[in-house]
Amino acid sequence: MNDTRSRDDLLAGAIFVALGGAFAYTASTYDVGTLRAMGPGYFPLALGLVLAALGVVIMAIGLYRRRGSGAMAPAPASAPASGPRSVSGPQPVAPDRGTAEVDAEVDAQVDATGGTEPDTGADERGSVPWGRAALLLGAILFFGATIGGLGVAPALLVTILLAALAGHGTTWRTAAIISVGLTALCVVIFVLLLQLRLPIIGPWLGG
Amino acid sequence: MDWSNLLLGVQTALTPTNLLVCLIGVALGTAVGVLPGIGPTATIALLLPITFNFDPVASLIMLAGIYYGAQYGGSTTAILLNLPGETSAAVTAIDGYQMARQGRAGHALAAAALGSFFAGTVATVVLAVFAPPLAEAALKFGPAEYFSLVVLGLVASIALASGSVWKALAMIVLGLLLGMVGQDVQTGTPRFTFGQRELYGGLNFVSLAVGMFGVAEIIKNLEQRRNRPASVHEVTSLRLSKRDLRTISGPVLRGTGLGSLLGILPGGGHVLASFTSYSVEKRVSKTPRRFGRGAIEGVAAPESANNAAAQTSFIPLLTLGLPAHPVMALLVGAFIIQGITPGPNVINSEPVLFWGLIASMWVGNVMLVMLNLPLIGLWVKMLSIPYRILFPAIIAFSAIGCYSLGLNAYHVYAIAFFAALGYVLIKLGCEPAPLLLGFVLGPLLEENLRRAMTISRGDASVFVTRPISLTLLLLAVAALAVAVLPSIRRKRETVFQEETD
Repeated sequence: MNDTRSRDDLLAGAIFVALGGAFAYTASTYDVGTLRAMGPGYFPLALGLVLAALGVVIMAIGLYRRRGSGAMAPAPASAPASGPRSVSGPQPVAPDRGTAEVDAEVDAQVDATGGTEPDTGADERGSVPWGRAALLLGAILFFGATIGGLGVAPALLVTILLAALAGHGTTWRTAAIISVGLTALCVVIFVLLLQLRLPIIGPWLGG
Repeated sequence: MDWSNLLLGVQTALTPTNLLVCLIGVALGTAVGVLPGIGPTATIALLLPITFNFDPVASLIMLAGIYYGAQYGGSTTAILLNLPGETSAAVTAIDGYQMARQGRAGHALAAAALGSFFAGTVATVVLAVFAPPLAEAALKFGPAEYFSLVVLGLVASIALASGSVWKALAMIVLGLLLGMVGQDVQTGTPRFTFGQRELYGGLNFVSLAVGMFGVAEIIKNLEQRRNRPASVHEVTSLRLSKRDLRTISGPVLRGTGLGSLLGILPGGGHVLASFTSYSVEKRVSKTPRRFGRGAIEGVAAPESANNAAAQTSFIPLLTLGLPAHPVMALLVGAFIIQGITPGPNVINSEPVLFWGLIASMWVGNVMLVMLNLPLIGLWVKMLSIPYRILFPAIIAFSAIGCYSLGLNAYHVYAIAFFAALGYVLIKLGCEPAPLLLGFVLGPLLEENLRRAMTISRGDASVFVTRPISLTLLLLAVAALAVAVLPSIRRKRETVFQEETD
C-alpha cells in the first residue's frame, strides 16, 4: 500500500515541480518589478516558486514513505525521541509525521464499514481507461474545432457519437441513436428555448 | 426599521406581473443551475438585451430570481450527480453526493432546500434592516484587509481536503497560477497566453469546473464497467426525521449567520461562505470524521450559507453600486439599460425598485421551495436514465454551454484540458476543490496585494499593522494549525493501535 501511495506522491510532486517551474520561468520573462511596484511577473513568479517548492516537499514525503518507518518528515513537529528504527513486522507509524496523510491511511483502514468513501483516487486502483478517455476528450476537442463551421447539429451529432462510444458496451447502433436523440434535445433547449445565437447548420455546410 | 417601505416593497412584489416574472426567473434559474455547463452568468447575460423591454422592477426581479434560483438548482446536481452547477455548490457535493450514494438523496435535497429557505428568509430581513450601516462597515476594508480575507478563505479550504495538507496547498497555488492566465488587469500585459488572442480573457471558470468536476468524474466512472448503484434511484422520502432536523438546526443557523456576513464583502462572497461554513461545521462537530462521507450538516450549512450570501451580496450593489461578483456586474448592466445609475442614491431615488426587489427575494425563495421539493421526483428521474445516455448528454451540455460564453472555441478546448489535468491529479490523491477556489480568488488576491504594496510603498508590514488585516491573518494561521493538529493528535492513537496489533 505504501508503494502505490509513494508513487502517487512522487508523481504528483514531480508534476507540481514541473508546473511550478514552468510558470515561474515564463513569469520571469515578464516585467517582474519590485515589491513596491509589482509588475505582471511578480506574483506569478513567486507563486511558481512556491508551487515548485511544495512539489519538492511532496516528492520528499513520497520518498520517505517508500523507505518505510522511522523516517522523519519535514513537518513542524516536536523533535522525535527515537532514532532510526528497523523495518520489521507491522510498521509502526512514526509519531513525528505531522501531515494529514496519516488521517487518510487510518480512515481507509478503520472505516471499512458503513458510510461511503469519497473518491480521492489514491484509494482506488481502477486502471486508467486510456481509450475511453481519448474518445471523450477527442469528442470535446472536435466540438470546439467544428462548432463554428459545422453548426450546432452536425457538430453535436459527431461529438455525441464519439462520446457515447466511450461507454461500456455501447454499440455503434446505440451510440448513433443516442447521438440523434441528444442532438435534437440540445437544439430544442439551447437554440430554440434559450435562444443561443448559434447556427444549426454552419457555413462549411452552406448554412 | 421603516415599515412603510417594506410594505411598499411587498405590494410591489405581489403584483401579478412581478409574481409571474419572479416565477419565470426562479424556475429558469433552477433549470439552468441543474444543467451542467450553463450557469446563471450565461443565462443572465443572454437575457439582458431582452429586459430592455421590461420595466426596471420586473427585469431585476427576474434576473435576481435566476441568480438565486440557480443556487438551488446547482446544489441539486451537486447532490445527485456530484456535478456542482455553481461554484458554491462544489462544497455541497462533498457530503451531498455521498448521501445520494447511500440512498439518502431525498434527505440531502430536503436539507438543502429547507436550509436555503430559512437562510433566504433571514437574509431578506438582514437586507432590509441592515443595508445602509453594513455598507458603511465594508467601506473600511482596504486592499490589505481584502488580501488577508482571501488568504483566510483559501487556507480554510484546506480543511476540506481529505488528503494531504501539502497536496491541498499545492492545488491552491496551482489554482492561483491558472487564474493568472490572460491579460493582466493592471498593466494589460498578456500572461501565459503564448500568443493566443483567445486566451487574453483568461481561462474560463466554467470550463474548469465542468472539466475537473464533471468530465474527470465521467472518466473515473468509465474505469470499470459498472452500473450506477441502484440505491441512487430510490429517493425514499423527503421527510427529514426529527433527529435530522435537530442535527441541521445548528449548522443552518451558523451557515446563515456566516453567509449573511460574508456575502456583503465583495469578491465571491457566496463561494467563500459555503467553503468556510463547511470547515466551521467540521471543526465544531463532535464527529468530524463523518464529513466527506455523507454528513447532513455538510449539506445544510453550506447551502444556508451560500443562499444567505447570495442575497446579502446584493447589498454592495444596491447601496454602493459595487458589483460583488460577475453576476452582480451583469446586474449593474441591467440597471444602466434601464437608465438607472447604481449607487447610494438608489435607495432614495428608486424606493419602489429597492424595496420591491428585496421583498421579491423572499417571494422567490417561497416559490423555490415549492418548486424544488415536489419536483425533486423530476430531478431524481434524471438519475434513472442509463449512464450511457447521461454522460454524453453531460458532455454535450457542457460543450455547448461553455461555447456559448463568448463563442470561444478555446473555452471548449479548456474543458478537455482541465478534464485531463483533473483526472490525473485526482488519481494521484489531490483534491480539485482547493484548486477551484484558488482559481476564482487568485485575481482578487493579486490585485489587492499589488494595491496594498503600492499604497504602502513596498512596506509589507502593512498586513500585520492594520488591525483588521492582522486579525484575519491570525485566523488563517489558526485555521491552518487546526487543520494540522488533529492529525498529530490522532496519530498518537494510531501508534497505540498498531502497537497492540
